[in-house]
Amino acid sequence: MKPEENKLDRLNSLDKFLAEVQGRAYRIAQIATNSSDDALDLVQDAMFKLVEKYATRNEEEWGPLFYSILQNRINDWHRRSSVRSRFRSWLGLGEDDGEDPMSGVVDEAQRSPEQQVQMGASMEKLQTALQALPRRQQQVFLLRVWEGLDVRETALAMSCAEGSVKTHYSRAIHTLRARLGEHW
Amino acid sequence: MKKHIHSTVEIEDADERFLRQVVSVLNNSLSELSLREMAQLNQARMAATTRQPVDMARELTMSRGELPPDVTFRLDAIRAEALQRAQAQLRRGKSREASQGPLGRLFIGYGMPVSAFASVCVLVTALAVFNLRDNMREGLDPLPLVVIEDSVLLASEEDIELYENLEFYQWLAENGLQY
Repeated sequence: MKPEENKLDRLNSLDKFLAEVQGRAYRIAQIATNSSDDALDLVQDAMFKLVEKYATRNEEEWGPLFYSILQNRINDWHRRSSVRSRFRSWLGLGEDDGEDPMSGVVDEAQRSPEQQVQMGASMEKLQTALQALPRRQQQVFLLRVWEGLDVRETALAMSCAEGSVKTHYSRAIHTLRARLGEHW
Repeated sequence: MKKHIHSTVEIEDADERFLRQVVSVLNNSLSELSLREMAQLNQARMAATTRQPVDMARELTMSRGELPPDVTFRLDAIRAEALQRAQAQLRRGKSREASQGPLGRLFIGYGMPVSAFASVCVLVTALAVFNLRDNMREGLDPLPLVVIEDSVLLASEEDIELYENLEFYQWLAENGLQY
């Protein structure tokens, strides 16, 4: 196969892969940051980095690599946020000026009132419970349950030991079940 | 024991039910993404994949052990420039060598400027004179000049080869030989 054809095939596969994961990646970032705009920025950064650095890797590696980049970006975001909030408290501006970052997000999905109620009854509760988890547990849980990565891939994406993944995962399930109950 | 196994299975089933519900809620939340969010995600993806071709072509070519044409061209240009510089330096060196004596040729050959050589000479002389004067005042034998020279050589950042050649010339002079 000619290099040009090979290159095009690669790009098509990469585009397909990114199209497949973009929604979940965005939601994961949104849950982690509680900000839609920041989540979009993080996903975009992760996409750029994956395409730029790892396009020539095996396709099976793209998933763990992409989520590894995304998790690093999320961690960086949290570091920056904590520094920012420290400065704010030093300058006497208070914690984020008491503003909820989600309050600025416009709900443009134009959901019906019933759907919104449904969302309020399920996703919102789940999102709140997920956000209350320690970050590592939250990330492991979402990667394992939603993204379908196995223990090894999750460990690769999280840059940690497989044992840690198992521990975080079981703790996350236990906490979420306790918080959400059987039906929510 | 049987009860324990039974309860473990029950817990696993409950976990599975719980997880299925979580996945279902999360998947539903995907369909609830707004048009703006979807458009932005698609835009980000397009930007990432369309910006790539040049770099990816480079990666793919290099992975086959070849260099991209632009890199090869640049390397050729660098090599040609380096050769030109070397030739020019050689020509300059030859014309200067012709106008210098054997000692001058030696310093130019090693790239040591005349001013640097003069500084080293002054330093060696000064050290020798001060050492002689101090020791005479204290009634001690002066240090042999070689030790002072060594200290200057060790302190100098110049190429040690230069000094080795100086020794050679010294040896030639001592033995009444000519180079």
